[in-house]
Amino acid sequence: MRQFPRLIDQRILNPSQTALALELIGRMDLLRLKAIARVYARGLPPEVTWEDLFQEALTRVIAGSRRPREGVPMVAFVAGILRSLRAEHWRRASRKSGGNDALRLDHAHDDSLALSDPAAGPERTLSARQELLAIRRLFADDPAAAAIIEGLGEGLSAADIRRSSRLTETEYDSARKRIRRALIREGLTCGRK
Amino acid sequence: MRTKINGEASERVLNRILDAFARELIDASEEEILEAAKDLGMNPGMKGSAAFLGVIHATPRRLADLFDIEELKRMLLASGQERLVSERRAKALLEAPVVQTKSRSRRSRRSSARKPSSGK
Repeated sequence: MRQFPRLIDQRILNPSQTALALELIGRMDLLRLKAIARVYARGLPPEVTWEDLFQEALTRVIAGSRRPREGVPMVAFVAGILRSLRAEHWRRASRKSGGNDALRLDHAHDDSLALSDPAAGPERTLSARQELLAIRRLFADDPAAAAIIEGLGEGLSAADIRRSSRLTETEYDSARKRIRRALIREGLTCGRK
Repeated sequence: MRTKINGEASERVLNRILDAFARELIDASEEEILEAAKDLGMNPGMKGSAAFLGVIHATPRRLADLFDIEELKRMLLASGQERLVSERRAKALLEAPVVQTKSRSRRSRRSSARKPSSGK
């Protein structure tokens, strides 16, 4: 029988530990990515957790199936993988459900097309609505932050959001800071989603 | 805006918001991350910090992730009933009146065995 070498501490490293050991990523960036993974896990079915997205993204980096472009910071690169993993999940789900959109999406190499798939199923739509409600609840006590989020949802630029919600530059910046802080706080906790 | 959101549009809106959130998190400074961690009573600089749960350390699983809750309930109930039955039995034994038997001690039995017969 083939013998496998024993690890020095009898432990198998998980993808994030490997990425850390190979110095592909720093500890603080892992926290940043944890929060981003929790963002992109929003609206996915309960069997797909942020941890799945997170470890899968790092596995792809380590395995070399996704290679960073020069000049792209590692966090932005892994965030892109997290985003496309989310899209990939919906593509697979769409294929399983036999939707006509699956064929069209197979030819769409642009993730943004997959993400904005116009033929989303009712389950996906319901889940998106629930997530939008959850996000609104998160910032319900902060009218400026809520206005910014509504503007972001409509695809408005910073200047347009400021204009439409009558926020000064300072008000806008401090509301964005509060949004960031809330997202990091939520991202650092160890909830399933 | 809320009235405008329906069907697929809600997914598009959600994706735009999620992308914007991700961009905010990419741009967040280390100080902001440390401050948010401090709010939660976490110290990312500490070895084994809770901030790294699910990242470097495994996230504690819920009972439902490890066991079939219904089966577990049945098992616990069954073992509880078993324990109850054995406890009742033990209690019954303890509370039962002790019956005094007129048995002779081993010594007296031995001494009587050694006694020579009267020679009749």
